[in-house]
Amino acid sequence: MFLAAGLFSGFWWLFPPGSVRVRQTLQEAAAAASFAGNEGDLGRLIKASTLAALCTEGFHIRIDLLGGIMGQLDGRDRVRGAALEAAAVCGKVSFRILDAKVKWIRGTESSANFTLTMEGCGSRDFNAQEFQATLKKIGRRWLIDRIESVHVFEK
Amino acid sequence: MGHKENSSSPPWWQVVAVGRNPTVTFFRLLLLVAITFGVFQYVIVPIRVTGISMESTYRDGQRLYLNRLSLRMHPPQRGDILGIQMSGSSVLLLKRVIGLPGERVAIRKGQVYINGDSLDEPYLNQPVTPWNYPTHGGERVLEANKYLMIGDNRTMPQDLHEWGLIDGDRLVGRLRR
Repeated sequence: MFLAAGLFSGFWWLFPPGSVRVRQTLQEAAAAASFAGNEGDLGRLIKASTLAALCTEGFHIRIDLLGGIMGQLDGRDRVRGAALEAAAVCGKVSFRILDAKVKWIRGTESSANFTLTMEGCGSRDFNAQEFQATLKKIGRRWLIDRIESVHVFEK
Repeated sequence: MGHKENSSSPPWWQVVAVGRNPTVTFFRLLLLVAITFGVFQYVIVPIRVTGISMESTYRDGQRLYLNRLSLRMHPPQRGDILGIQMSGSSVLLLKRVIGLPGERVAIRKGQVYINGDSLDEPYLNQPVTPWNYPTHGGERVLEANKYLMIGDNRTMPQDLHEWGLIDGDRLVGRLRR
């Protein structure tokens, strides 16, 4: 029984199901977008490049900002630039992904909902927002293709 | 006889660690874990308030408990403070129920109107900002399973406060009144 459990765990670890890989990509993106504030320029560049590498070429993000303003960004290169800019402006900023739920996986596309929390960047408030992400499988990796804010409240 | 009883009784350290009967202690522990898990999974949700949207009723950093069971047993009523979940229940938004399904709601210069009558809100003990809803005038009829929920801090500008209509499926638990 122990051998079977061990084999199963090993198989699971070596070949995790798609939903696990999707959640891993999202967690890696949140970690890459977080900055401790004491990184050097090279450290920031590496993190920003890691974040960009987790996105597809045609990446698109649309976020509801405060006051009904909407922010959006297109393209992988813009992600790298925006991350570097945010790191320079914010200093210390920490993102966490909570309750990531994979809604569906169809071939090389999947969709997941998650709650993103942000702390730091000069704000003493706790900011949280729900997002919907679409990911595409390119090679063996799931990459983020689209992120959009989910409106918890309807007006 | 006395000597025999002494030799069969477990050593004191075992009594202290696992009780006189380890099997019974194990099942008691198992029961305790199951009850604790059940209570925190299905009955009580401990929360810590962050932010200012429920001031002055609840302040930033305050620790509270939501009752999941209460919401399952009784549908939301006006004035209830409920937890709203996002993609899961790790982060909850805390808001007050203002409008119920089927009602006509409007906010004019900060005054809430339900089915045409002004709503008395004694929990608002600070001057309110003149919010308007719907912004183009008139009233909004709440569909089935939709609740109008707003925080108690109406000193905040309308656009900076997270509020609006919520699907009943997102409601997690009720604060004890």
